[in-house]
Amino acid sequence: MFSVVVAIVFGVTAVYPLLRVLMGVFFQDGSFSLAPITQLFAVGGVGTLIMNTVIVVAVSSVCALIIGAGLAWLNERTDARMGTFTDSLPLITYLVPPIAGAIGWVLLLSPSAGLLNGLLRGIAAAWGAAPTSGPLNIFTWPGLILVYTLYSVPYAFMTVSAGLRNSDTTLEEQSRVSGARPFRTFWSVTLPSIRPALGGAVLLMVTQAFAMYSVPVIIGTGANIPILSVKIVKLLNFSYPPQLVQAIGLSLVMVILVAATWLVQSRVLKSGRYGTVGGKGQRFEAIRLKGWRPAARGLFVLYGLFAVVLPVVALVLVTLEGFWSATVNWATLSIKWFVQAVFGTPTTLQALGNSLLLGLIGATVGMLIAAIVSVLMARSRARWLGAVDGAIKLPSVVSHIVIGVGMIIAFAGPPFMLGGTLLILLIAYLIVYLAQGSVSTDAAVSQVGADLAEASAVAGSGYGRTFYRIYLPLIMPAMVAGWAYLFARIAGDLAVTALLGSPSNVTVGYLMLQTFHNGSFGQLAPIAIVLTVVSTVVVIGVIAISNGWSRRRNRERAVTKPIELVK
Amino acid sequence: MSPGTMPMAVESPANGGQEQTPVVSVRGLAKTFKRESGAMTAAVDDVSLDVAPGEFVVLLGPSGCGKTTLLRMLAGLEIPDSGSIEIRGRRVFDAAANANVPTEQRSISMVFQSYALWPHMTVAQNIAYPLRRSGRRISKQQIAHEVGRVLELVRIPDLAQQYPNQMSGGQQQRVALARALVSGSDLVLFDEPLSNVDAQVRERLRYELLDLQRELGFAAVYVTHDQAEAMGLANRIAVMGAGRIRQLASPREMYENPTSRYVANFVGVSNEISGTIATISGATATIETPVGSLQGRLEGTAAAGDEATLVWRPEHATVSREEPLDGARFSAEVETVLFAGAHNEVVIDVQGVRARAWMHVATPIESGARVWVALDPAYNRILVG
Repeated sequence: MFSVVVAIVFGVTAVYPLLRVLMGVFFQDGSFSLAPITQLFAVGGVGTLIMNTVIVVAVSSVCALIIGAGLAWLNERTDARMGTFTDSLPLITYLVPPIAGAIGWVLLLSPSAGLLNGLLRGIAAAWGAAPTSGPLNIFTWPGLILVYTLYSVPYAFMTVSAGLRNSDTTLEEQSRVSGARPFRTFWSVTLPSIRPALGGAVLLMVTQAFAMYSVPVIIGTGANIPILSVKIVKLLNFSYPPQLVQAIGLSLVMVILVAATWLVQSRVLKSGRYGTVGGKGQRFEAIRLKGWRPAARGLFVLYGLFAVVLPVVALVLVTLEGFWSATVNWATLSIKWFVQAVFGTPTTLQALGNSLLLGLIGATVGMLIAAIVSVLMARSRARWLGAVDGAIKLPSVVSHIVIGVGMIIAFAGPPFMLGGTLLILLIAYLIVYLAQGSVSTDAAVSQVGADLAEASAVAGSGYGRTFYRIYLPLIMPAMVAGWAYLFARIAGDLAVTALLGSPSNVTVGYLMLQTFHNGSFGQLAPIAIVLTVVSTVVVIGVIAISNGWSRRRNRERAVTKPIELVK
Repeated sequence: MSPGTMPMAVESPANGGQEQTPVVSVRGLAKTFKRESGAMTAAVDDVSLDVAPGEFVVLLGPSGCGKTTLLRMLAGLEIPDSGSIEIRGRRVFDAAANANVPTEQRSISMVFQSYALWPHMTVAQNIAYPLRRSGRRISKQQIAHEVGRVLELVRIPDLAQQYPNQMSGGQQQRVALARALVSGSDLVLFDEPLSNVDAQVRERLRYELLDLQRELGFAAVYVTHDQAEAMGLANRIAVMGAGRIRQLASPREMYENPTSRYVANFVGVSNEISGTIATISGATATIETPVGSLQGRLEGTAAAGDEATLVWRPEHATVSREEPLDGARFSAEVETVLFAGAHNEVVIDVQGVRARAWMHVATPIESGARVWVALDPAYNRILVG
């Protein structure tokens, strides 16, 4: 069975680098040693480090779940929906890569040179006060958590939307018929029936939050809040000799934390049926919000403002100015700095091309693998498949850096000789980012009733046809959303590139890291803009098309026609 | 004629047709499931069964009796632990030989309880799906023709371009049936297809299904817990309990001559009186009960002195307010009277045991009254164990 082979090959590939690293650590020079664990406590301030990270991840995930699930419900179940705008709004932050967003917010709220701060100081001056810095400061706990949250919301929105779209709305109708007001229905009926989606969202958010590097390196460092991922990179890239052993130890901590979350989620998914797509008709009517509608729609706008508009405006302004300062000299704005930064430097163009290519291939191949494995898991009861699934999900938890190191040990030298190539980057991206696409396909597949696949088998279709004609169309929303996520992450990747990139195969992330370390925020802005624009165009296009399909299919049920009892 | 399609002329087994290979032949099937608690339950326990071509076999029983598991094993959706299955004389499963033909190669059709209509396809696409199985060349026009043909058969010719979620339950059921019929398979499996449909639609669909089956001549294996449905549809009924077939017989045979209390209770209304066997003469036995000495036909073997149960059905009892002049009779107290349209259903108390009898609606009767019951020994059945 082709799919079994795919699953196994990928599972093995995913785990192999990790194994090599682990082996190399526990067996120093051929003999056993527990150095990673003992040396872990020698890392300065390790307790604070772990606690900081857990706090940031937990708080931001909870906030993002509330915001994301709330927005998803408003979009799917009420008439606050504004077409493609609300459908894809929270997803837009996928398209503004976290590094671009982080830079944008620094440009806005850096205490001395922040644009927004400059504006606020100007307003304060008009009232007679004369602060010299602030009043707001991005380099603080709230600032850090804010940016984490903003970039976690899309995961919650995406997963919960897919869950709502596929769940059995008769349960909610029953609740409304019984007299419950919309919020009560949401709380007591809708939420429990989309438990798999909520579980998937939490897992997704926690996983990516732990592994996030760009936001904590840009904001956390400035705020003097040490975070796990940044520390690990520092141990590997900015210490001589590289502190591999301590880095591994810290990664193990991360692994444990996320593994626990995963166990809880797989329990939730396996126990019982939630609103499965069971082949029976679903009809629903959007809840009319009446007076609340402008406020609900305002929430979407507010999110868009914070997540996209404000940081992008800052990036654009700084790009057009050619340098960064708190006050904008409107007269000197010109596009020539942008043109020069992008087209005048061949490296930039090459980097963009490489990143796009890797994104396209990686996202497509990745989502196919994710779907194949998810369907395999759902249809087969073999227990070893659980191990393969775990193997696929595990790498995303471990810091990308450690995977990068593992990739170097495993594949860069003989016999594979992939060092410095685009292929090694592609494999690394797949290993690192696939897991989160697969969480999304898992949730989607678990909502396709088993009887739909059985009916296909009875009708004479083998696994391949059933996968292609039944599962794939039905999980398409999750596939597309996952594709968008993978594309955006790969194109805007920073951490993996830091280790595996090479000057001969530049990617955008590599370029940005170099620029960041050379100290110039201003020069980062144009590159971030290009990345954002390209990601946005590609991903919005893909999602709008997919939403058009699935909405048309679901719109077949009449929203205004009365339910007929014709037999 | 490609394998899996029905022969043109089918002798109904009721007509004593010629000897033909059974469509389905099951020997010694068993399957155990492990519960969450770790305990093993036998879902199917040593089941053997033959289904003749064109025969309508109903698997009848309460929830958990194993009927659905058995059906799914025929389809290949569950793998038995032991036994063998032959379809059209070809061995599709053999536990001893570790042989299993996967579902998609068994050339069968199935109607699911949930209909299992694919929501992203139109009715026409749903129905056409089995025609497109790999390795089968068939033109678009032919597909459209076949789809149209079965849509006419199930009487929904205008719904071809609709999506399943635009239709009522009854219509969806017809689509599911059409999909099962389109490939002309000579074996169609049904998993409680009418249990999610409301009562009136259910009756109508039942008649249409029976017509279709007789007309098209496919063999049907039909799972239900509804005994009225079973009796109306089946050539033979297999009553199942705890994973075993308790009795396999035609509806009439099963109703009139149940071989166990379980079957007697499950099929039709049965009333029980327990007692001890007094005498046996040939096929008849006399049983001593708290309401007197009663006679009936003995099922199975027994000896005088054995504990036994006499089973009687309401339609064979005469219930009156005045004491009959002769014959075996006993009195009982009326608990409730339920109007059932064609008769009054009278719930009576016979020495502490509840029984149901019928009375003509013209006879005045009320709760608390005493009535006399006279049974017909020709229809009494005495069952042991």
